[in-house]
Amino acid sequence: MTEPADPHDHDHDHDHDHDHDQGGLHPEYRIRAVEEALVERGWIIPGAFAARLRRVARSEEITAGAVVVARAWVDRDFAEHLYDDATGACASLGYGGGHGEKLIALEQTAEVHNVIVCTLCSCYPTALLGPPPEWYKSDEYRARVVREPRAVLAEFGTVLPDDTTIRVWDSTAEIRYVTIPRRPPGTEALSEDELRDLVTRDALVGVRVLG
Amino acid sequence: MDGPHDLGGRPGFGPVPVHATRPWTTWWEQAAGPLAAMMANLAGANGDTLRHLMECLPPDLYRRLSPAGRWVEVAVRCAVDAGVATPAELEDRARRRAEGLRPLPAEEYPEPKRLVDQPPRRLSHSKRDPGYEAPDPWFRPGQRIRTRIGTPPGHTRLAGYLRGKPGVITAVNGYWVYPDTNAHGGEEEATWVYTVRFAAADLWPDADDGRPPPDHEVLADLFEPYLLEVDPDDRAG
Repeated sequence: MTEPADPHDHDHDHDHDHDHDQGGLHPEYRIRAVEEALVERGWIIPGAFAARLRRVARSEEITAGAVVVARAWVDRDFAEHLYDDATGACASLGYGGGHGEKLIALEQTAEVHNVIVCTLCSCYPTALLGPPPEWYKSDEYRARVVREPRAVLAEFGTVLPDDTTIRVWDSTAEIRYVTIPRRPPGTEALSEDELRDLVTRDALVGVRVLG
Repeated sequence: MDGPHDLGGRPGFGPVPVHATRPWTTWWEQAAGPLAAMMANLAGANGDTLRHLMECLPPDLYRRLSPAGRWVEVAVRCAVDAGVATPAELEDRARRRAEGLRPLPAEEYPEPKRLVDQPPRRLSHSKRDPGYEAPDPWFRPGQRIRTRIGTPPGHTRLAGYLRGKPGVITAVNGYWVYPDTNAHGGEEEATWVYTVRFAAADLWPDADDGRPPPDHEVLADLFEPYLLEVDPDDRAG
């Protein structure tokens, strides 16, 4: 089986040999074959697909989510707006769009801890968090987190008190959820910019807590 | 339909790959999703159709492939539907790539036929508040409901583990295009969407694996046709 010479094919921590189709051809060649047919038959100009991918690559960051969380921590009015109408609150900071989904922000508290999943595919709040990580799309996460969330959270190193209610949100329609982590203790003196640096993607999905 | 994609609550899965923290690690994994979206546009498929195409992958193939590998399969199917190339041409072009041979011009292959009726269009997911005259919502927050138990033949967003279960409406969440019909073409219909809260102990009442019954809650956004009224005398839930 021939492997493609791909300079980007590194840091591969798991085996994708199972991704070869029945014909035994690496999926990279199958993608190239479609692109080639598109160009040869005049559907797209050469380079158009690569340009599209560069736009996707630029969106691989959670900046928007961090900005929203830090603002909610320092601005009570914004936080109220966020929990009342996350689509509108995020739009006021210039974030949103995507597929036109509705956004809902879930507040993490001592009593209730929220976790997000899509058991049917891989729906994710991309407008705020960029494209989802592989673990979020994994069959293991999708199958297990609705059934045994405490065990799954423990795999992320997250252990919650027994009396904390866990709510698992399965994204089965076009409404996208983010969780707003609790502000870590001892951060009262930090600026909004510094607070942003504390915010992680996993905390906005609800599999980890901050601080 | 019961497809390989409907994973919620299924047993037999191992640890979550928590160290796979990037969206993709190779060029082709990054390219797979955008290519599928582009091919869906050419095939005139909407977002619900696109999801359904992935659900219809043969179960053994679905399980063997990574998420990106599944998108490649869907992209190739859409490309063939759109008349970009025949399966044989795509196979030959991929093989020539693998063998380091030069691409052949289109004239070297039989002319592909478009296999779908609808014209190309921009991919749109089930839209929010599509501007229809909305009737009043049938259900209200706080109301107890039961989800339908039957398995729909085509696309649905009522996950298997949520079928035939008691729950409580927590919110009316907008009037949206109904994916169960939208995935199969024709006129767009819209229905109300409700957030429904389920007690995990109701979803898995027969857990007999020696562990205490689950004490968490599951919330899902469900379309009105998925829901049934509960008789006030029905003590379930």
